[in-house]
Amino acid sequence: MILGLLAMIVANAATVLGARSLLRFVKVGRPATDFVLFLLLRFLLISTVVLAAGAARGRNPAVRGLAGAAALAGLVARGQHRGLLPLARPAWDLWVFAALAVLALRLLLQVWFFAPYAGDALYYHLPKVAEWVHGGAITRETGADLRSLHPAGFEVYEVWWVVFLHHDVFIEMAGVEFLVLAGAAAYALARELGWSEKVASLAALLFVMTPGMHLQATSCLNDGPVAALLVSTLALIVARVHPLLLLLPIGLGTGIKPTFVYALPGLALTMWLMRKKAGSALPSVRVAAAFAVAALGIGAVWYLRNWVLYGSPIYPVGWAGLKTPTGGHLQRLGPSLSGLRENLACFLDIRVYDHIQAADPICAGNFNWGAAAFALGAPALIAVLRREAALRPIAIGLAASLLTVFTLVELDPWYARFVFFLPVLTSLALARLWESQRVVAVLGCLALASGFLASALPASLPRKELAGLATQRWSSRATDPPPKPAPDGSPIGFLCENFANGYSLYGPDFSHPVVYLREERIDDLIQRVDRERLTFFYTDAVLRKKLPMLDEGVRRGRLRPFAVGAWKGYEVLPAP
Amino acid sequence: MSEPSGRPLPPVVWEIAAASFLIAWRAWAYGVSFLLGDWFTLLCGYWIFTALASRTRAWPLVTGLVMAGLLVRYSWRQLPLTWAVLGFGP
Repeated sequence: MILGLLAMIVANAATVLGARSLLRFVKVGRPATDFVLFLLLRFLLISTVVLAAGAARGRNPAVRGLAGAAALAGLVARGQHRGLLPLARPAWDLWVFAALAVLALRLLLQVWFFAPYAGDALYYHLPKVAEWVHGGAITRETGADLRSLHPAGFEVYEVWWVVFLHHDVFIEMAGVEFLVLAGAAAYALARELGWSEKVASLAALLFVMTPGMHLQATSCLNDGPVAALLVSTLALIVARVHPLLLLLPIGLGTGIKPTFVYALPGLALTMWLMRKKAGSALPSVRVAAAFAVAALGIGAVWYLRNWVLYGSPIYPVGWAGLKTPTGGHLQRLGPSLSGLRENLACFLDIRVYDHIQAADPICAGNFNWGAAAFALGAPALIAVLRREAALRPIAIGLAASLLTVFTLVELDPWYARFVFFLPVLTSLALARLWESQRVVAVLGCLALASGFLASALPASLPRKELAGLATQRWSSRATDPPPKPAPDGSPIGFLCENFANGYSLYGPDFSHPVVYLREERIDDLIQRVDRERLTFFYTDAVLRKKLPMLDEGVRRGRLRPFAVGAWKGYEVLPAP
Repeated sequence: MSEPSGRPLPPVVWEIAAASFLIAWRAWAYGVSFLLGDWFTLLCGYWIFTALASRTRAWPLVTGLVMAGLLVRYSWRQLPLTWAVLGFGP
């Protein structure tokens, strides 16, 4: 444990110094934008290391730690640690420093006390993380849910935060890092608009306090990271960096989720509207090109995998979209004007009020943009757009991105999470007006306080549930552990035809391998459970197609159903 | 709208026309009674007011009132939900 912690610290220090070392080849000379580039380079480094180690089956923690230590020693010997921390304090209000410090502390507490809880994370994002960490490699097995074959760029960062300890206690740090990127990008945007450090710090604070965005950071979901990368792309566009550098967030974002690509036409429009603004010089075009190729490669790897293994880069999505194995409609492929109309109407008439339930990261029924954006940011945007011409290309681009995303996604209870990038606009406008209007500042403090409360706990993890988590030992902390324990190291069977929590079966320390039972006939199933020496297995809560097969196993006296809480499964009985 | 002097219409006119069009669209789509509690309509009304009176002494006051009104409207439904999650509600 201690060695794992040390290895994690050393490896993170090495990536920080490594990213800083690489930054000198592409920096534009403006600290706010350079910080965004630095964070992007760190993500690029981490992705490269995790994918390379996964491909090489570099499962030995000691080897990973030693490699990190060697890299760190080399970077320190080259003097990359000098001047790491800025000596001059930025001209932010003292209360903004205090608010950011409180937020940072609360985020760390959330990371420590939260265990993965969001349905999508437990169903299809994290089972692949567990498979990869357990297997010490990027394995072909990714879990039972079809959606587990979607791009997994964010899961790679999650692997980074669990692989050293072989435990998921710090897994939420991956999302927290992207929240930092979101704040840095909002700050850079404000600075590139020529606004003061004070206004920029307010814009960053307001954006990271957006309740939905904030809760995404500790939810193991990837929509917050997508929004952070979109806003980073926008910040680099407004900074007029060399186009090669734009490929850095574009490659990373494409590898996280295709909804990132859905929003790109709007950003391209902003770029076109700002085409006459002078560009920034690039220290090394060759190195920038190498970064761009690496980022695009990292983004493309999941699409290539699906193309090679399943015959389509966007598998499991087909021409008719994505349906569940039992026929339910999940995702659309291609644009739909009626979809745009429905999504826009639902968004403007219902979701913006955030009144269906308390804030949560997946935006069930709400947009979760908070009081600051709804009540203050939206009117502020009208006032600021009238007098700040420089903000208009950004607003036009983001509005276009909103429309393209809404044209391409299905109307469901959760679709508003795909436009988490939008509150950056209201955050910028509110911060700008905050500076000049005292009444706005007073109301803004109230709205921020409301946002602070709304982003403390997600609706799906209320105080009672959190208290339950907090009383568990950190090493076994889990939101929904399976009720039947299996001896350490022994496999657990899982038969899932639709959606179910596969991640919790591995345990927070990934000590249980999970055997996915995909057999269609009872003879094959019995043969498999005997071969794997399974004494029981879990199933979906609701089975449709495979229930007759399991009933047949019960009739033959080989299976006996059980149900404890939300968990259902079958005991495997010895052959009569 | 004809324009007798031959000079282009001032931007304020276009702003008011755009905001009025959006209000009219909301009224056409949902009925006039819907406009009373509609967030979007309020914003469009505020846009018209800002276009006409952004340099007056009343503008900061009206801005504060609009924002405070929206804050109350938002919090009225949302805060009890948040309180409940935090364990302070019913």
